[in-house]
Amino acid sequence: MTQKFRTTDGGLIDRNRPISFTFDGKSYQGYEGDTLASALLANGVHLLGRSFKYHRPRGILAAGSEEPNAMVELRTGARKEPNTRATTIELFDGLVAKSQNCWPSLSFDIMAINNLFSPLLSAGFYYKTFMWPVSFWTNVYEHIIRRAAGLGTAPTEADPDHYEQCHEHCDVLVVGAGPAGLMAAQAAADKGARVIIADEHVLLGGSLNSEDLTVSGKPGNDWAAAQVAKLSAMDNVHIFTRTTVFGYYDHNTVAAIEKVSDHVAVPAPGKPRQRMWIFYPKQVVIAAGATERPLIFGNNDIPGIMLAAAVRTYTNQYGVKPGSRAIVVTNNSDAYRTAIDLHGAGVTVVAVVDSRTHPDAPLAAELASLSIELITGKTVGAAGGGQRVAYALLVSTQGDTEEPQRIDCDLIASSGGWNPNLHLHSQSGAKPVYNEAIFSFVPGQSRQAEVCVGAANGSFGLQECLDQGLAAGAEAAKLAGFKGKNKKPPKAGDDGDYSIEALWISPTPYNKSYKQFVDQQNDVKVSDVNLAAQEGYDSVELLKRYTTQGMATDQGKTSNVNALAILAGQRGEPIPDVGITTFRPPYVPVAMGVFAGHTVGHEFMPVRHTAIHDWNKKQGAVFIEAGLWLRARYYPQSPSDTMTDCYIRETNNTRNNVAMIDVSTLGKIDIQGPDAAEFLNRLYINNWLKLPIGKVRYGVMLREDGMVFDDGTTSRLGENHYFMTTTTANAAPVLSHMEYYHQTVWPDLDVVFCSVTEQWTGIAVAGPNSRKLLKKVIDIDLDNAAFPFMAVGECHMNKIPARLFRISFSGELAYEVNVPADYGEQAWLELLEAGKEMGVAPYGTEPLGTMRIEKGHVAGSELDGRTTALDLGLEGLSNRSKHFIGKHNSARPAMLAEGRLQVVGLKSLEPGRNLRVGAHLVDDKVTLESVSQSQGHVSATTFSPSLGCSIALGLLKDGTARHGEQIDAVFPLDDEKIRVEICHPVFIDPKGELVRA
Amino acid sequence: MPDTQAKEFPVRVSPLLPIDRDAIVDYKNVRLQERKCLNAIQVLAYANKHAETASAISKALGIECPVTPGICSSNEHTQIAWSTPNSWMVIASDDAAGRNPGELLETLQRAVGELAAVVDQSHGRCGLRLSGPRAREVMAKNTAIDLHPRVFKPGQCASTSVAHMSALVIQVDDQPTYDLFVARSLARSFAHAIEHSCHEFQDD
Repeated sequence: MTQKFRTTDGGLIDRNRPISFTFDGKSYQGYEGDTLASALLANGVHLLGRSFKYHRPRGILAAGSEEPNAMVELRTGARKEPNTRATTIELFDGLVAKSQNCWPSLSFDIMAINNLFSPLLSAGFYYKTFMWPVSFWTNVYEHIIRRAAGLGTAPTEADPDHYEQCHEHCDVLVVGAGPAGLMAAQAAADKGARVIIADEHVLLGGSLNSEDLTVSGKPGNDWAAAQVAKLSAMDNVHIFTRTTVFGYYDHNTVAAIEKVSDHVAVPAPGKPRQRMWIFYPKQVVIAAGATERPLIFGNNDIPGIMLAAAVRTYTNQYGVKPGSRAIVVTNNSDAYRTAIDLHGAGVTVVAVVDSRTHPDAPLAAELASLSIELITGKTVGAAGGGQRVAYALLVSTQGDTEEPQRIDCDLIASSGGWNPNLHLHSQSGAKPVYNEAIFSFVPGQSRQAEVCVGAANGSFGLQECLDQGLAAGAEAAKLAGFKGKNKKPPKAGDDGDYSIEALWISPTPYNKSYKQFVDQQNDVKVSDVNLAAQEGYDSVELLKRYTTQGMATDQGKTSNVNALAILAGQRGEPIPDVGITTFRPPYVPVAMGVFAGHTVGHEFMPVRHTAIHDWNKKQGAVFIEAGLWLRARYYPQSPSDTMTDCYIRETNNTRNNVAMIDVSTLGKIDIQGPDAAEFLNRLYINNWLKLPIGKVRYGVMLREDGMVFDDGTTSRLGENHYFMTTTTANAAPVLSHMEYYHQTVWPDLDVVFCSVTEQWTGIAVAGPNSRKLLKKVIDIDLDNAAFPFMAVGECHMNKIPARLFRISFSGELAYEVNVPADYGEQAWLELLEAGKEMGVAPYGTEPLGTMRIEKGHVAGSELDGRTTALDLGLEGLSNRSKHFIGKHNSARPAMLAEGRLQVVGLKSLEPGRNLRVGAHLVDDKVTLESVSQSQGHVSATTFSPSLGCSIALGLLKDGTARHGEQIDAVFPLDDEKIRVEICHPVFIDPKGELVRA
Repeated sequence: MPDTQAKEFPVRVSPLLPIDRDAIVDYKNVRLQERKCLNAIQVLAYANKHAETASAISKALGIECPVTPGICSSNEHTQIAWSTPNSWMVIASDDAAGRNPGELLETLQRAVGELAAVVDQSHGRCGLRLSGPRAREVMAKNTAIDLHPRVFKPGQCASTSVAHMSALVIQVDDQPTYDLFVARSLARSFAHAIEHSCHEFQDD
């Protein structure tokens, strides 16, 4: 019969629903309601893993997320999850778990030899041992250390599951569904508040499920179940089970992780594995409970040594006998319950060892009535055993030298008192304060809308929990604006006794040296804390970083206060003076995937498509990302076509014939109102008051600091109606620039405007044959006289309503057609069809760039935020007799001084050698090594099909005055130096005759 | 500019193509559909013409034009969503009320005259309708605003971030049904994101 250590009855597991699972390849059985830890204990498995540094055998210390030891690799393959705490894994059918950090096997682990070398592995040993030579650190030492020390191994395959994020608002968030939390939720919900109550477990009730308690005369777990049923029936209450609140952030924003599918082998179709919740509560009631501290004695890490309350949880909630012969060792009254509960479950309790000399009389009497021996004034000095505890050596707390008393046992339940769970309180910005009565920290002054109640507030008694929960829930609802009378709390049965006398470190038997573990997860011993303090790392924050105490998956939940107390002892100061480390989120480990949520793969960022996108894709266009947009870069006609082949072909077809490009991504802003012209006049450096209706004008905008911001065209469509275009990159910035100035600087201007970028598909038709093509489909007169350069008009393209602009970026005779975007693809196809006989073809952004360089149009690489209109050769546009944004700052002396970088054209004088963007322009006497004497740089380059050589635009010191000179373009990365001629930036058709043809 | 005299209109191509199903998501408890042939007209009142514009719109459409932030008034065919203190988005489907393309635009232009600018955004927006008992949960995965029935009710609207994209959200009824409007260029990414959020409810 398996499950030899399962009680015949009792507990909240379902004995009618057996569950099969394997651990280290061996099959076991547990029951529904078990955790992996409780099921293993039911099968007598206490050895679960090897420790971080010394590879010591480790078992189960706790019964919740504070567990430092019982970490396993859960699942296999791509779903493998290392460092999962067996105490938090709900058992499911087919669960596969494996021990970690051991080789070749858990029971025989070669690296356990580290245990013998432990004197070499003291605090900070990395820094001391592997100091020299420095070059060995990353190449040699790190590999060795990483292999020797560490926890589980990460999976190598991609996670097949998905994660997501969700938002929820509420009036009152209750963290924890123990007695205090359930009361708080009830009290707040009764007043009508929207309540969220979240708990780590699937079974709500907290200590009511794990302790032998009664409320209103009912067993605790029954009362909790009834309370949960009542809350579930209320539509203003949202209960989150399997949900751990892990972070408390500014503005009362709280994050939680819901383990949606961790209790099944594979998530149901469509279900995420885990879901992150971002809660926006008005008020927070923290009823997060408390964590028990272990006592620190020699070999206190042997499997079979557990926290006293965890022993009760396994016994009461899971019907498991964690041992056969038990010792309870304590410094407080609460742990007596462990002896009583174990006795009730049929476990032999050999003794209760209480370090206090005057224990609580009624409890002592109760033990006597059960014939359990009570030993006072002594404690466990050290434990013995290999892979399971076998005996305890008792010593007097006075540390006398008499022969220690040996008691054989296979279970030591240890309790050093309770630490309120202050993580969320501390994360909210509050500072916990030390409380002498419980020898631990309790909540301090709240900094956000939160309050701690019950055990989290240092009030451990059941009646206190119920009372505080009810009061806090009612108050939170009131603060959130809900009225109503407060109800009376229910009556708790036994209120418990939590009196305690501190015992931080047990004396060792014979004054011998034993390993006394403070932080079992990181193998930090008392001697490490002492050593750190002696070496000067005696502040709490330094101690943590030097010894690693309090790090890793448990974040020192069972070790922090003990470590502080030991440090305080070393410093000879009271604990409050030593302070406490700051708690940081997350409270429990959270998978990285959940922070990404859905935003992975193709959802990593949105993609913007134009109406022509599908056609481009069908044509095999190569795309380029322009912000979020995908734009066609060039169109290969055969698999052997290179980018150069394509842009030369596409440029030639534009220059010699006719070609089309999708320019829908340009920003478009509709501007209307009586003051629209005045508004434009202030935005742009050039004149706008006299632009006739039906005309387009090129304009340049500056920033307030006088640098060029953006350029584009604006058309006058009607008396008070204008249509502005911006560059693709600046579509949104220009709109917000306009909104800012209209709303804050010139609210008196009667003008309205909005983005219409998305409404229009823009198609540029360029080349000497563009008019011929458009005449076939456009219903207005396109002759040069009727529709000259810089004209705009409304028209139809076949049946499609359109706007036509005679503007040119390529320098050729060109037009731009705008149609409503749902007609965009049809318009594109109709233009292609109409131009078929003349060989029209699409062109991409690559030839677009080539042609703008040939034409000397400045773009993003020259409008780099450091150039003025004067630098860019655009100052001629500006009208300094009017006001415009950036006018004054663009005329500061430094903006007009000699030595500024000015835009120039550059021609390679070395046939076959292409210029590179970023190359420095230096005098010929300068060597490659001394580019610090750079005169400027190359900003944009292309091979010019029209000129038959490599050309570029560049920014050169006093460049405008240097046309005709020669200079070197050097690119030290490639050891490259090319002789270039400086020239006017407009390479072709400098008089602009083509565009006006 | 659209010529309502012309009897023949070009066919409008959905920005969502090639997602070409009647419903993008069709589960028992949640449904996602495109609102096809959308009209979305932005009306922006000139200085101090805000109240007059509102009454002109109300009169022309027979719907009380909202002057309170976050309100969307509607009748069977048409929605008027408050956008800013001086602007509204008027939304309808072409086929609703037997209107021709461009008719709503013309109606509004006539109604407001010199009071306001009327800007056609019909082709610039993609409209999606998310409905069903799970719709609110799908929304919660994509937006941080509070859509609880106590706070966000039918007839309310919000311009906010949905699936990290800028969207106009209108609650249509308490089924609940939400109308979501996003920029045309983002339509596919947006629909994918919402569709993905629905998958959890496939076997509901």
